Amino acid sequence: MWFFEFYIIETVKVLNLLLRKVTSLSDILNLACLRIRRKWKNSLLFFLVLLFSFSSVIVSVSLVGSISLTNAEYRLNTYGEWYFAIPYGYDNYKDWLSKKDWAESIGTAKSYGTIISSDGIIGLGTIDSELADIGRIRTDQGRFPLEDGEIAMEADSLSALGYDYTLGQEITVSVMIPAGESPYDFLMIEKTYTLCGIIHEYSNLWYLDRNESNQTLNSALVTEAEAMELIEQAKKMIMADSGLSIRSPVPQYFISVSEENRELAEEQINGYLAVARKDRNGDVLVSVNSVAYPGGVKSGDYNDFYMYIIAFLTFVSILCLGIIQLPSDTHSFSVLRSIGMSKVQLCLMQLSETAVLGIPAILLGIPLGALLTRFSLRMTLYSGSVPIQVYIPFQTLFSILVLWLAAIFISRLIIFILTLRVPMIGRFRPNGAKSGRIRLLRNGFIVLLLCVYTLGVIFTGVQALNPERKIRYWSNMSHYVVTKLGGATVSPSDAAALKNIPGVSDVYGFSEEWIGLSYEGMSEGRVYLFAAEGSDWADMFDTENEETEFRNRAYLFAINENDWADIFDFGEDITDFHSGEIVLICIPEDGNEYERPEGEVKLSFYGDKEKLLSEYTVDSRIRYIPENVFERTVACIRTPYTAVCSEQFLKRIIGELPEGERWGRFKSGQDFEYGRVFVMADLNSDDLSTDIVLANTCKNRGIWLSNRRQEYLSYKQENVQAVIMLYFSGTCICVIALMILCGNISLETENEKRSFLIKRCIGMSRRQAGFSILGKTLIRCGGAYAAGWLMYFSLVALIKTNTYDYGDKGFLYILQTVINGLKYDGFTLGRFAVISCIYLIVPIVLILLVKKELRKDGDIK
Amino acid sequence: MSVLISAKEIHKVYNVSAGEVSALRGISYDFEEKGFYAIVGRSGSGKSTFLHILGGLDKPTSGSVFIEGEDVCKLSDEKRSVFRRRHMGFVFQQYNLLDEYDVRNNICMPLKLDKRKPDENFYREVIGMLGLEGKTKKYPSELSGGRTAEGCYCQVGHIKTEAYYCGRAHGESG
Repeated sequence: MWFFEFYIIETVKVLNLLLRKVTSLSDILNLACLRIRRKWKNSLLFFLVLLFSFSSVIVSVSLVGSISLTNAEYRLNTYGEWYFAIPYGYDNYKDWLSKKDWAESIGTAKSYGTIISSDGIIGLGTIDSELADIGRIRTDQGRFPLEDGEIAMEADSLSALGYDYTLGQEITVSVMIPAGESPYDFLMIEKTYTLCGIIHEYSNLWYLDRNESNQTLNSALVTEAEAMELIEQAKKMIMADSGLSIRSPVPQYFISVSEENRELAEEQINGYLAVARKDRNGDVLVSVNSVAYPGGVKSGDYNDFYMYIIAFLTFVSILCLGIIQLPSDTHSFSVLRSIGMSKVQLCLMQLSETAVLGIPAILLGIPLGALLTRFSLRMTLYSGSVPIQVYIPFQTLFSILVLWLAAIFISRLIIFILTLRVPMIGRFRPNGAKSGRIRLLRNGFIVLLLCVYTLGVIFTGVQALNPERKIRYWSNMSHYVVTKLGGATVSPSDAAALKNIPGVSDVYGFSEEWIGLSYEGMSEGRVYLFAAEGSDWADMFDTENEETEFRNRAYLFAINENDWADIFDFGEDITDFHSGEIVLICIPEDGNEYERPEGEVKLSFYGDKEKLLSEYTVDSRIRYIPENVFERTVACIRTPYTAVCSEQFLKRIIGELPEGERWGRFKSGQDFEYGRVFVMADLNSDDLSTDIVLANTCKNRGIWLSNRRQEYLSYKQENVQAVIMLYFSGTCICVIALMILCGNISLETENEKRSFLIKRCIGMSRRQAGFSILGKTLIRCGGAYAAGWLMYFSLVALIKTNTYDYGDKGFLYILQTVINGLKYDGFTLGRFAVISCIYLIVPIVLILLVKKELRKDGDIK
Repeated sequence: MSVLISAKEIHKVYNVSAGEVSALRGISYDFEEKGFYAIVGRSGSGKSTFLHILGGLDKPTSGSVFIEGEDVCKLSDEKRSVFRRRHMGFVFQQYNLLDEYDVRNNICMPLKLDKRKPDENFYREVIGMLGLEGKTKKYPSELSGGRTAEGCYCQVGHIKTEAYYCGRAHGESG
């Protein structure tokens, strides 16, 4: 019984103590709330800064995470999920691989033969369902072959064979079946299949970095039974005494391995191959899918960088807030201490104040951030062929939340410690050196916020150059090339017909043939007229035979001047060019020195067996071809001394060829036609409609189509993702920085009001006040601008140092490579001006708008 | 009359960049109950320093201050804080009212910190005496200079302290 009484008494004592504590806490909370209410403007600003910084963290982290994940998913969808590949394997490899725990999935392709086309070799064989799964191999139309006699092919392979994309049509192909020991021995079998599906492009996209045997991926798929039937047929074709035997189909293995096991798996596979490959041909090292799983810093993948920036920004902004409020807080707290507030009470009051503002900021920030993320993803993300991946990296968010709370804690702790250090005597405001240090700290933090903003603007604006250049490059590459086999030509009417196809944006025909080129003062030439001593071109072709045979050779590139005016810039010479009175001589800007023809050049036309057919002397103009001109790229434009002439001039040359003679693909008296035609289409659509009609038209007109649209679309999309990532993430960073900056500047303005009012009372005019504010703003922004560029170059140099081995080259060398890279990517003064304006104008205007309060008159009391 | 506050050999030395500054050199004095004392001297002679040490706002370099027999210099910060809010009142040179609280809260602040409720009758008496009726909901920035001073006096008077410390002459206030 006594124990029970003792228990009751002690429990009541504890409850009383707790009640007193709670009551005391509620008193402190009440004081904190009164303080918040009185300083409602400052408190509201503080709350908004906390709310916005927190929700922006959620948005940025989620967006960056989502974009990054979508990018990653897009890469997997384009280049396959597999991590390792053995492009030339043997049957027993599968047994070994199956026993390995790290092999999550093993996909197998079998190469049975190849088909020769106008566009190169097409692999024919089979794939299993595992490979279809981990390779994300799929059909754009139709299905994979299920029955014998069916074939599914990639669109560009069909075009290369002269077929359109109609499902159900009969496809006749000549299949080369490897026979004998030599890699050049084949048996040819002609087979007819029914087209059952169009395979989404993959064989030209997958990158096998250790494919030493140049094994082709299967872009034409048949059933296993159909493939074996081909082998049987080939075997029957071999004569009994020939000594030939049919080589077994080549298995290709594609393996999925989780990240933590990749190092071990690579070591084991390479070890196995080293033994298994002894005395055999083929690959001795496993290929890694480095395109789908880029290591290090891949261009456009700045997830980590933006995370660090966001975390740093959050930390700095909270500290900045604390520093700005420091004088008023220390004053209040010192007065309270003098009245009799203990350290514990003061600490509790600080915590209460922070909690009252901080907790709602977190609770509101989470749903606000989630809402903004959803909205932003819908509005901005371009996912190409994959659905948008929404990803909120909770671990990163939690880390940043911890950092955010730590920043708040540290800033409040600083104030608490400083308050305790301030003596409880008459003057409660920091003076002299301390006041100066606090002012310096406050200015430093604001400049730091400006630096983060600068870095965001510069990094985004400059790093976007490279993917933008690549987008331009792939957009301007000819998506289709139309030719005719056997050196025949494509007529202008064919070209015009192609231009009328829906989805085709432009058609450029041209002709390129060899001529002889000479001019006065020309040094005794080396091959191909690549006359510069020690230039790369001269080294490539420096052989005796070639020197004799190809002396003074150059390309003649015939074009319609209206279609190529943006490349060659004819200016006033266009009329003379059209009539053939002048030709352009191309000199590439590749760092080599080339002698320049001045004035007239002689063009010599040779027929069979180097027979001179005709010569023309015409005036010439030099055209320098910059390294980064990518539009309608033709190799001959970049070849030194290529002579560019008009179609008109070429028509005349053909017309004046001696009767019965042939120059290149042109016979005397022949109508002018194109050697090749570039066809440009809209890369944005991912369906086959344009491809189908184009292929149909080409087939009907007997012209060959090389279809690169899907391939180029993939490359373009990857860079589009990178640009979106950069701009959106960069914008988020900048907007967060600006808003937090505005909040801090507002608080600073509140603190400066009194001193400005006093100055106005003393006699400072509004104009003087304005100049004072403007001067301080310009110094801050200007300093941050310079610091931002310095930070950018240092950061990029650091990234390059970690990515490449520069040996003992110094920082200046690395900086030079950075600058050269920027020039190559098209960094111009115009771009610099835009970046500078965005940087300088926006924060300066914002700061001045916020600070205009200080120029108003108010109650000095 | 008994001695309320006793200062024994108070020394206060400040370390500044130029060296040491001796503000107080062995001051000893006894202050009796119900007494009204004025500490006068030239500017910089150590008057405020002495007052702050007597009030427990600052600690001497050496010496002791006994208040009702207890050496306040040896008390912990917690106990000194409690002691100040229960037994001391300060009217500073710059008044130093809390801008974020209204007049009533400023006046009752020491009691709030001590978790005590104000004696409403005494509160009204003090307010009335100093002419602050109708001003209790106002904030220090909304009061005239004189009213601010009166607010300070209310703050100290309201807690019925044993001692009041005023940091300046108050001829201009009531």
